[in-house]
Amino acid sequence: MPILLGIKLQVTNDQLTLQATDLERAIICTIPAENRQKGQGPQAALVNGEILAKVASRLPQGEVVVRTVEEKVELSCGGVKIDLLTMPLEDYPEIPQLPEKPACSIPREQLQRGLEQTTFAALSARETSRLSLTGVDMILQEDKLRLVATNGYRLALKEEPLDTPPPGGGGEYLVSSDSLKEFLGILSQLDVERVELYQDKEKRNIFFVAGNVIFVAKLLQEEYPDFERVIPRGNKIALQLERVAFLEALQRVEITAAEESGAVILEVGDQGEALAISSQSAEKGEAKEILKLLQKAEPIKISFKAEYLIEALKKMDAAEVTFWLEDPESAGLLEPVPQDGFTYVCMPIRIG
Amino acid sequence: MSTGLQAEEERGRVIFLLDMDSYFASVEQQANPFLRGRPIIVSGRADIQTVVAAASREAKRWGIRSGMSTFEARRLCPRVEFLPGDPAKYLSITTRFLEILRRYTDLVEVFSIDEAFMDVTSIHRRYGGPIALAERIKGEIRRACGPCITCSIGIARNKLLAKLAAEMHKPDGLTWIKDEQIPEVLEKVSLTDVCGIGERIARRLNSMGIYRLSELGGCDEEWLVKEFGAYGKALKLIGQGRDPSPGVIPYYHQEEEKSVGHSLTLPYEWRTFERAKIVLYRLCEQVARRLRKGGHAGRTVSLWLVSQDYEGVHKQYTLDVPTDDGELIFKTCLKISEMVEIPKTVRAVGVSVSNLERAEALPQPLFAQGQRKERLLRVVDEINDEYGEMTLFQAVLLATKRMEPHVGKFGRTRELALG
Repeated sequence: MPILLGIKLQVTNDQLTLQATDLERAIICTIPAENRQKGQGPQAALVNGEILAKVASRLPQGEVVVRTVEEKVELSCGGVKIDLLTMPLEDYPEIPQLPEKPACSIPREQLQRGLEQTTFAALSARETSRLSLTGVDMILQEDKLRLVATNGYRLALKEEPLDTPPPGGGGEYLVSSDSLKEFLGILSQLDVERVELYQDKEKRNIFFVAGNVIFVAKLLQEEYPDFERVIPRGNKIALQLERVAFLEALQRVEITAAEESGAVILEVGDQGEALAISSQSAEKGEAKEILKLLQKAEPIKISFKAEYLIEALKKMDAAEVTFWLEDPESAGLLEPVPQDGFTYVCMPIRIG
Repeated sequence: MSTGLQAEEERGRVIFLLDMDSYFASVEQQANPFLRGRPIIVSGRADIQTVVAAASREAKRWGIRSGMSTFEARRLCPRVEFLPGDPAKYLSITTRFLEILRRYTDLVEVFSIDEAFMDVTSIHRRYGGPIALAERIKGEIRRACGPCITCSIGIARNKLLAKLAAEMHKPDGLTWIKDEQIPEVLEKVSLTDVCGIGERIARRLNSMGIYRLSELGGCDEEWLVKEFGAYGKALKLIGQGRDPSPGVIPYYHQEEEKSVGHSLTLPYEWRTFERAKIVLYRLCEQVARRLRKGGHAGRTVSLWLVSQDYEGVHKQYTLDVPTDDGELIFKTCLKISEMVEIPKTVRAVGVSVSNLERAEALPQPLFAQGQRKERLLRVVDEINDEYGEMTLFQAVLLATKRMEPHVGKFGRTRELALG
């Protein structure tokens, strides 16, 4: 739809609002403006977003005057005058209206971190045959916001405590991880303290309000799997490791892992004092690295897709981690020490 | 559309196309002396409407051709014998003759189960020139596969002409289109003789006043592009006797593209996509079963739909995580079907899964639903291993059960996992 290439410019009172949507998500940005045609009602125009962005980035410093002239939008700044063609406004899709009451308010740092630590673990958005797994499940509870994402083989969970209870009680929102990644990109460029979450009455959209930007994402109308049941909280073997050492060893050993599986073997011997990480493949060779365990552990031999562990370790901040294991067939649980709300679950590869 | 080799690059090249004669029928006759000298047809069953996958030399004398309906074949020769296909048998012979070709060069491209291209540019002199080398290969194949199994070899400067050459003398033919003969050949042959021009395109060209390849080659390229879009460029090249596809793809590159696929020509009453869906599901289940048997899972799903006019629609889709589950392969096919223009009449459907990985190298599923599915598939496979294919299957596939046994023509795609 060519109309979706457009950015809608709208002047109301002393504000200029810019809106864009691809029907899955929408972004609304409001900036202060001096309205020189006050009292003539709202004025709006639709122009090609890519061209407008290019113009905006190349205009000289100074005040920009925006005027609508028949089928054009005239932008002038200093000695520059650029006329952009407009598209018919009546065909532009309606962008959902921000509801009145927010569902919750959360410090920006916390939301940003939570999204960074979960969005990576979801299935990519193209996998519409397993739509629910392409999303991040956001569960709003009395005292915390829980974010969960999984691709069916590994799962990331982040719990962020809320400093103020959500005014409307709890809620659950399944949001495309792609949309959330996009929102993360925008959020990182904004200088705001807090972000407010809203949901419309029809439960179709979620709204993130961050300063002068509103990000709207369609909710996935799917049931999220019962993830609580697959978190192995009772695992008995605890591998205590330095996070960066573990991460770097995995990255080295991954080099010789078989191309298709990326499998590495983790083995704790009878002594229980060290972890051996190894890999081998017919086409590349083999590698082995010994890491000292910070605490004695039970012996075990288990195999994982290195990439799944590396991705998670990269998203963590703690100096130490515990990798909780049970047996070679059951899921492992990786968490930071001390626990900061992040939990990562990963299924092993069968050792052939 | 790849642009193909430049005319200068083709000069001096020597390409073979090796095409097995009446392949499935010859293999059957080689395997069973009682079938020799008799008109036989390899197809599904005579009582249902399918197509002739291969006809023996004797059957061809009655006018029976592959691709013809079995009904038509019986009309032409009432005493023709129908044989169910035995893909494993044919594949073992294919593996055998490919091995011979690969002893000469790595530049062997498998074109279908019974055809392969070879680029012998740099090796033919060692064996006394193209003709001597071709005869040597033919002799070796006869010795390795048996006297009933013969092949025709076409020789030319590119794949397009080599294939045309092989068609000129069959069976047991050997034809070389030398560079200086190209203009004469282009003058002589009609449009549909060449690979890349189907009936429908030929009809459109005819209506534009073009009947010979040389006439096509003389056309203004812009004019062809206007009429046929990007394919116009390829048509212009074909008309000049140049090959719009790249040169021979070496075998070791193809091996990386190893895939598992199935295709089927639909019975008359099933030829809409809506009805074909159930057949497609069945094919997906067959592909998945073969993947599991081989211990594979694949990420890329390809869907083919062939229209009444033999025009093909093909598109592929790559999943995040490899699969060996027929249901997911089918769902992916449905998704692909939403991205292409579906022909009104669907004559044949095909599905293949490529980008294969070893299934045991995948992590185990995290959720109970995925684990249950894995267990279920394993148990169903065990039962079907013991009691035969389709002993246990999805009830929805009941309507497709009578389609068995059937041999597809395997499609002219690299869908065979040749070991």
